[in-house]
Parts: sequence; structure tokens; C-alpha cells
Amino acid sequence: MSYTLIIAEKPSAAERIAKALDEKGKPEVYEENGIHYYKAIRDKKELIIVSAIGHLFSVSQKGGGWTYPVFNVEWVAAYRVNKRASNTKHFINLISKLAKDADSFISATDFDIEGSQIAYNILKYACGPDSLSKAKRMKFSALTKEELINAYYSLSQTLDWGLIEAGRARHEVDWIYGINLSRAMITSLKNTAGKYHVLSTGRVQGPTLSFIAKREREIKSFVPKPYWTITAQAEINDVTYVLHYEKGKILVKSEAEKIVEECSGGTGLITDVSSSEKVLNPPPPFDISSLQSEAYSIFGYTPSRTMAIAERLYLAALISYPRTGSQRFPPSIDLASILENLKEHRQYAPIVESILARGELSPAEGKKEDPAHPPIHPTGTLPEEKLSPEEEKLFDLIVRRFLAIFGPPSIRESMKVTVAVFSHTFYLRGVKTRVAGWQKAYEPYIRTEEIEIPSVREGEQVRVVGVNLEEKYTLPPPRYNPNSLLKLMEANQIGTKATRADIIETLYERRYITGRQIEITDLGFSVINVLSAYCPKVLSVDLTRELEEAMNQIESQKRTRQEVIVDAIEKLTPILEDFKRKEKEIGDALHDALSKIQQKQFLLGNCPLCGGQLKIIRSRKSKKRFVGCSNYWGGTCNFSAPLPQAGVIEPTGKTCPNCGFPTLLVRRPRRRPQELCVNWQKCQGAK
Amino acid sequence: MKMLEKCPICGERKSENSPYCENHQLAYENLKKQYQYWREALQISWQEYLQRIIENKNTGQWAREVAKDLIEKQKTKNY
Repeated sequence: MSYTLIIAEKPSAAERIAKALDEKGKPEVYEENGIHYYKAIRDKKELIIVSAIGHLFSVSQKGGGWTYPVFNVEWVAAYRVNKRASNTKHFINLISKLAKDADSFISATDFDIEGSQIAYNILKYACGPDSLSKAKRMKFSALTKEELINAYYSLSQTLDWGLIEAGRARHEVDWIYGINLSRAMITSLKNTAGKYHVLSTGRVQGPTLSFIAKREREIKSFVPKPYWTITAQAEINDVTYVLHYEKGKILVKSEAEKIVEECSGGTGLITDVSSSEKVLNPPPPFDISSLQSEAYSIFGYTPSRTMAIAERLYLAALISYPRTGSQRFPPSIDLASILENLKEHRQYAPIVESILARGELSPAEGKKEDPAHPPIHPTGTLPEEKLSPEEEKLFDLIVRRFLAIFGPPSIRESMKVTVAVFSHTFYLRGVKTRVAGWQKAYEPYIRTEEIEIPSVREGEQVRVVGVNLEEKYTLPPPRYNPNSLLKLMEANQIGTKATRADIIETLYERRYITGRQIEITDLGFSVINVLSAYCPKVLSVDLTRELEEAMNQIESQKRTRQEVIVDAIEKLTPILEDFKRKEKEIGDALHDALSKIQQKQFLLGNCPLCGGQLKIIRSRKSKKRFVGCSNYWGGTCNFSAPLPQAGVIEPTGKTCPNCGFPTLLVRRPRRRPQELCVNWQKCQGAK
Repeated sequence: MKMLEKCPICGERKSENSPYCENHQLAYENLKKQYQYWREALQISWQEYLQRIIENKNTGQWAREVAKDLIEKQKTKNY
């Protein structure tokens, strides 16, 4: 008996689709090599539902040879080119086997570029090219039963070729750029210095790292400027309040001192009391960028972590598809029924009731639109299993944001009391929420401040009990964090909503950047310095943005994949030719930079016993590493200390406050970096 | 063959017409530019300014290194 083969993107999505489509809600479950697949019956038709596990096929070089330029690419099974993808082999084999008896196919992967492409590759390479013409597309934005059944009955009769072609182009262009530029760097180092070192850059990676390098330069060359602020303490109704001088910053010290002198011992006269109201409309619903941003500032989750949690909530059918750029609900979403379902959650019931009591539902909306998916919202489904703490937090944030968009505006009142002290003016400012409105629903995540001020009238006198002068300095620009970097990438239109977080992670993995407050490493700086000196185009935001636009045009079928790839190769070719011409200089510069980094990595700092250099040394006999002093060979210092043998050791540039020895950082996979005093065996602070 | 001149602070290649490498030159220019604010604000000399820049925790690493280098050079000159 033949059947329809339905291809899902992830195992948990396959299970949900199978349960939703089986008329009895109990599909038969089969297992092969640890992979589950399902048989469901609907309208007397047999459906086999099988899943992928993300991408099962990857771009690879066509033909052999480790050289550049390489522009010939082919798609191959991921396990053939990536050791970490070894588990994909069983999925491909199972799908190929199931495809043999299938008479039709349905792509039921996520409805976006990646999802469409995953299904396309599976159909073409695992099910056979003939399957493409027999395949239909199931489009859904949530894994709820109703939505999946609706999607099954309103299948697109063909695959979504715009998305597929755009996805293929993106992977192929990124591969061509990444492999060629990385090989160009590695080759120049190898041919010049005879050394092999893994170095990489890419179409989006380069400009992103360049942003960080630019900020680092601003911070490292920053020279602060002094300024002074003046505050006065005034007693009103036996309570002391802080008044701020009318000029926030005074740039000349003598001027500031004169003001303080003139105001000291004075009495303040209230010359004006005013207040103003500000109406704050509810925020728009979450798209992926605003969710990542909010989760970072509230919970400290990195964008990639938020994406991973949101993905799990989506697969559990608790929220809609998270990789969306939309802030507007299409009319097809039944908002009232989602609210009714949310009433079942005890903690949300009172808020939902107050929303429903207001009558007509008119959610706040933002400007961004995404025709493929609605904004991120709860589906109304209750969690079947206990959520992890991080899932619970993100789910609550999403639900409360969804509830907040239906709320009335909130009203904030700002009050200002003007106080004259001789010829100088000070202000006492307060702010309070007069009408909570939508903030009631979003209360745990509201970060506004309430500053109470006393009730006073014009003409009243206040006693000034002190006037303070404070010297301050301007601050360097802040370091990017994963969230602000993601926003910068978005503002510069480089990368996509689905790839930006991963690109930042790649920079961490390559050891080009480090820390939550992102700092570029010496290696990152060296790569940027070499690229900006010899082939600055690789770091150009414009080049990357042009290619992004071209790929968007494939999606809207204004350009073909071939045209865009040819265009990308034409842009890359002169860059690579330039690289070849300057290979010697580039190789020398890279070698020089890497040698310095290597030397620096072994130097931990000064020895407080003799002033020599403390170094990481590896014993020839035991092969173990330890710390030794450079004066040991001169016979003037015999300090040595053992070191942890696992993990990467980095000097911190700091000294231990207890014993004065340098400190170091030990980084181990999946563990927090540990700061250790070199003298940890004897240091009192380490005990 | 002309020997490449190196930055006295980090040993990198010197920028053209500059006593420093590109990074330290950038910091040096910032130091010169901001001095006028400090002079107006505090009526201090170039030397006092450099000393305060070294002590300030908001000063960037390269700017601090250049300030130290300038003070050292001045000391050598006086000596």
C-alpha cells in the first residue's frame, strides 16, 4: 500500500504532526536505529511522518584539492563532511527507505528559508529528484492540533521555490566566501612562514568583527574629560531631598566652586511647581529581535540562548514560530480563543478577564511585517510537562507581553519643583505611574522608577543643609554585548534574523572575541588588522549588505540563484587575486602577529620575588605544564608552581590582592572560567 | 635595505610621520586633542595632565601607555 511521506524538521515536530493528523490522535509509532517515525490515518489515507534533525545535507567542494579559489560546489550528506553530523546518516537512510513506497510527499518543515531548504535537499537527495514534482508544502506557524490540521487541508500544491532558491544561494555564497577567504589567509601564512594555523573569516563574520575592533580602538585610545556636578540637600517637612543644579555638567572647576560657595548656607525659595503627563502606549508584540533583546536585558540570556529556548517552547506547541520578523497579527489568528485558553493558567486568569471585559480586542502593533509568520505569541496550549526554569521564565515573558498588547495606555506623571538659591536654580524631580494600564500585565518586567516628592507650593521656603560638588569624568563608549551587537547587525542589515546570533557564537568559538562585555582578542585584532590593511573589501558592510539584498530578491523571485552566485563570485574574484598578489606581506603580517600572541600566552606577569618574568613551561620529562621564573636559569630565583593540566590558560594581566603574584584564567569546556592566583598553593587568599 | 622603525611602546611598525604605531598614534592624537578641555577646566600643565590621565581609571590602555611614554621621555630629556 502506498502512502504520503510527510517530512518534519525535528523529531518532536514529527510526533506533534503525527498526533494532530491521525484521526484518533494515536498514530502507530515505529523505530529504526533509534529514530521514531509514525503512521497516521486521515480520510482513509495512510500518512507516514518522519523527521530530519535540522540540515541533513551540506555544501561541499566539488572535486579535490586544498587550494583557492574554489567556486565549484555540490550538496552532499552532512555526515560525509562534518564529523559532528554523524547522526544524520541514519536519518538519511531511513527517509530514503520510506520514500521508495511513497506516492506523494509533503514538506512540513518550518516555513522559512532554512526549513524549506532542509525539505528540498531531503526530497532531492534522499527521496530522489522525482519526488520534487510530487511534493506539496504544509505551512504553519504553531504546532497546535488545529493549526496543523488546517495546514494539512490547505496545502500549497508546489514547494516554495522562492525560499528554497534563496536558501540554497545563501548557503552556497557563504560557503564560497568563507572557504576562499579562510584558505587565502591560511595559505599565505603557510607559504610565507611554513606554519599552519586555522584562521577564518566570512561574508558576515568579517564586518561583524570589524565593528567590535572599531569599538575596541575607541575604548583603548579613550581619553576622559573632567566635569563637575552640583547637588544640594534641602529639608522639606523634616525629610532631606536631593536637588540638582540647573546645569547638569559644569566644565570648569573654578566656575563650579564659585557656584557652591555662592549657594552655601542659603535658603531655597520654591519659584515653580509643575507637572506633566506622558501617555505610554502598550509595546508591540514580540518579533525575534525584540524577544532576544528583552530576554537579554531582563534575564541576561544571550540571543542564541533565547533562540534555543524559544525553539523548545515552539516544539512543545506552547508558542508560535519564533524566527519571525513580524509585529502585526494577521486576521486569521484567533486572538480571543488564545486568551480564553490562557484563562486556564491561574496566574494569568485575572489579567485575561480584565482584557475580555473591555470588549473589542485591538492589540498594539509595531511597524515590522513578515508575511510568513505572525508575531511570537502563546498558542494557548498548557504545558504538558514541567518546564525548565529558563523555559518557564521565557514563556512567562512571552505570555505577559502578549497580554500587555491588549491593555489600555499607561500614564506617567513627572513633577518638577524649581528652587531658587540666591541667583542659582536647582530642581527637585519626581515621577510616578498614575495609571498602570498595560503595565499591570507586564509588571514583573517593568523597569520604571517611582520617585516620590513632597507636596509643596510656590512661594514656600526650604532649608538648604548642604551643597556638594562632585568631580566626574566622561566614560569610554560601552563594549558591545551579544544583544547590542545583534541590534547593530540588524541596523546595518547584515545577516538574517535566523543567522545573526549564530555568527556571534562563531566569533566566540574562533576565539576572536571573549567575555559578555565583548572584548576582541589579540587574535581577532590581528585578523582584522591584516584584512583591513591588505583587503579591506572583505570587511565592507556595503558588500555584505548588497549580497543580502540580492538574496532577498531571489526570495521574491526578482532574481535567480545563478545570477546572484555569479555576481558574488565576480565580487570575490578580484579580492582573492589581490590576496594572491600580496600573499607574502599578508603571510608575514599574520606570522608576526601570531608569534607575538603565542609569546604573550606563555607570559603570566612579573615575579614579585625577583622581578623576573613568570612563564608557563612544559616539562620535557613529564610533559606537564607549570609556572617558572625567567631568573631560574640565572640562579637568582627558584619560584615554581603547578598548574591545572586541563583547559586553556590565559594571563589576566592582573595581580592577586593577597600575595601580589599574577593571576590567570583557566577555561574548560562547559565550565565557568576560573580565575586562579599563580601562587595558589601558598596564597592565603586562595584558601 | 632600510630597517623598519618600530613603535617604542609595542614594537609594531611605526606609522608614517609618527613616533608611534597606528594604534598608539590614535591615542596620542586623542591626548593632544583633549588637553585643551583639561587646561580650561583645571588650569594644569601638560605634564600634570599626563599624570592625571595615567591615574584615571577611565583612560584607555593605549592612551595610558602613550602618556607614560611621554612622561618618561620628558624625564630623560630633563635628566
